[in-house]
Amino acid sequence: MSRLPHSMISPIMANNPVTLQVLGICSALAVTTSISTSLVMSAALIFVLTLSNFSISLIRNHIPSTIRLIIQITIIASLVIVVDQILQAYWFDMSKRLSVFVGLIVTNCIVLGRAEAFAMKNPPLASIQDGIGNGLGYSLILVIVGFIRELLGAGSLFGAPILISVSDGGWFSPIGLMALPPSAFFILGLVVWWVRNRHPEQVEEAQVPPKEGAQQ
Amino acid sequence: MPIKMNEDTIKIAGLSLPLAARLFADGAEAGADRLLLLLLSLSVAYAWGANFARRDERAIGQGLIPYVLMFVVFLPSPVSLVSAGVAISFGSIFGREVFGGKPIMPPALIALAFALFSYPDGGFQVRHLLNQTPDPVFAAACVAGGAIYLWKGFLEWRVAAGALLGSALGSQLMIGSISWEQPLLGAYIAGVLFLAASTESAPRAASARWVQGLLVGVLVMVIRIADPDQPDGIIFAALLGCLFAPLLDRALMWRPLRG
Repeated sequence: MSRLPHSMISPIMANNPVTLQVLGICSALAVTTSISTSLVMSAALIFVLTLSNFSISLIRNHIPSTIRLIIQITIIASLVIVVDQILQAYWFDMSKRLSVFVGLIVTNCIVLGRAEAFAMKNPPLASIQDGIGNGLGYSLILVIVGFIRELLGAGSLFGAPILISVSDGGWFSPIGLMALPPSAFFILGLVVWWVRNRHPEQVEEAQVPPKEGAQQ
Repeated sequence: MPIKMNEDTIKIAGLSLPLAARLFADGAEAGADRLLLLLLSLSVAYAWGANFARRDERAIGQGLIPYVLMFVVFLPSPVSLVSAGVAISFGSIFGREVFGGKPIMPPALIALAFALFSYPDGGFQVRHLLNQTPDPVFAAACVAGGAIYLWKGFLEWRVAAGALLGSALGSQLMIGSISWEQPLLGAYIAGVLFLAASTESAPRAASARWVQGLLVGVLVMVIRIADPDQPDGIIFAALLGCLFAPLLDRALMWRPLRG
């Protein structure tokens, strides 16, 4: 592990874009009903993020700062269109299941956030590493949420039945809430809680200090 | 109003009346199932409570037994033990334990809302509500239990009264006449008295409590009549009512009191 650069390792757990910076939540809710959609979405995001970081970093010294957001978004959107078209051409079922959310990678805060915060200031190689690291951090959370939601919501993994449901003669009754987007909020909350138990330095100070005896 | 006796004891006394009415309506076999369900739910909730209490080095928060009793009272008939265990766990964790054992809204409400979303056909609410015969014994037991709650200050009468008014208004809006049977159907009375009007989640301002009650009452009728998937409606109406409590306070008092 120690051979891999810090910029690639730290976003996976200690500085995770989803659990610490709470970015990219929208797609984390929408595409995590099954583990396969989570994985494809993760791959799409890693591709877009790595290449956008690389391209923006390459031309970072030539981008006029007044129009830098427009240029960044143009680059990101072009990459997203490529991914979306490839999916539609070669994996139409998956493209249907992911619906608009591949296209919405354009608006994923992680991509623009890394472009603005990292790629604009760092050389291309480091930017690639940063892109892969942040992409993997996002993927880790998506896969965890997708795993829990598919297992508990449908009793299956990758579409193969694991827990046999009552209607098929088993004991498991699928938890319908897990198929609905709000469940991702609950699972994400629990993941954030678990991570912050392990890394107490991530806990923010309370914005409103609790009043003694203010309630009840 | 000063509370001298242990809060839990009084709440258990208040809830044992509707529980008795449920057992009476169940008969011997289903009654035994309901008691088994109660036992399992108590052990699951206790396991979570004890686990979190040990982890955070604090006492098990109050209200554990009332939470489970309330959950069991709401079930129209006994449900599968697995789904009840999952729902009780969800209510325990998200309703009680992650907030350090102090609930922000009745944990039974959270467990029941989870169950309704997760197991739409799991028997957590009556199907074909309008074909049911009203159960005056259960309603009377709830009112008696509610009276004990009110006497010790666990029940906010303005919310309950507002809910009745709201339901009259809602039924006038939705079906063109005031139906006096509706409050006797399903878990309406129990939901209004023990969930919606619970002082745990009621707004601070008296005016906000009236508005919350009206909101819950109107919503029950709207959900009952407009959403065929939610024939009872009281759980979601109470849930929305509780969520609106801080907003109503702020809107009607113009300064935040809930810190």
